Amino acid sequence: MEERYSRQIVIPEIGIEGQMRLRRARVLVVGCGGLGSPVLLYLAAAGVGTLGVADSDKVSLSNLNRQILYETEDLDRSKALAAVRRLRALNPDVRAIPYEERVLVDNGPALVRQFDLVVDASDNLETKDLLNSLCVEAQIPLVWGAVQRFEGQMGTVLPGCACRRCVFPVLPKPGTYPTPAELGVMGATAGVIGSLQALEALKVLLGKGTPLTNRLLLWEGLTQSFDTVEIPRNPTCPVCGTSKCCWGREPR
Amino acid sequence: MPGVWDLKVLLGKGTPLTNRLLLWEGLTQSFDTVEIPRNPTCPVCGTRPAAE
Repeated sequence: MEERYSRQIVIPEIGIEGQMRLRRARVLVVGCGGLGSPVLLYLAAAGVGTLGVADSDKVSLSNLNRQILYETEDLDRSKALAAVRRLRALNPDVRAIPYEERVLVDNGPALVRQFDLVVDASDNLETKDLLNSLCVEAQIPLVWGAVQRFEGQMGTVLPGCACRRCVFPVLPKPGTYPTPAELGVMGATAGVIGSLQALEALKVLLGKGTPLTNRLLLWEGLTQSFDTVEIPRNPTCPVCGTSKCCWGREPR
Repeated sequence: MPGVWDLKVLLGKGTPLTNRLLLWEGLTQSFDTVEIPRNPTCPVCGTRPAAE
């Protein structure tokens, strides 16, 4: 175990203890596309013990400018299954579990409760809002990200902190906003935000550093501008306004 | 970030990180951009003649 992880075990914030913590951790990644690809690859490479890999789609040619989990020969294969195969090849230590399904109101609650942390790498606002509600309800940390063209956003939701609904109180109706296919996205843009999400998830699992809670990160790649906007928790938020303040660990 | 930057240069779009230094600290997710003026006496680029 030690040689594979030697370059991170040497970091004071990680060490053997942190590496054991990662091995015990269970992370659900929802969406195995542009964001999910770097998230899953980095979490698997870092030795996160259990990875839930959720996506109901099949690999298509238009995915391959950014979805670096897949190869051309994976066309028409289930993304969840192809991703799991790739992750097992990368790191056999990792238990990667495929879920070839969309996360919805009926299957979501039981699914997220099997994990210590959820990474939202989905490509639609309905799933993002649902994952936020599910994680607040189950008091599970959530690291969400979103990208289009040359820009992206990300944030972290921990119990007791502002949730995604505090940031985006109004959910646009499906069909009233442009789809990723219409907007377009650069692969490297998804790589930037997905990599930030992976690091953020590792920090939360390790209990190190300062997570992006009560903050929204806005990145604009064309100008290389990074802005962090303070987002206070909304006490009347319909999702988290009544959630409990303590989540069983020290506040970070 | 290098990937996106390289693409921007190849495409000639956006504003490259010239005369600036990006500093990123992942543990706190803090990003800082520092202005770096060109050094007129720089031994590498300071004496380079202007392109024709």
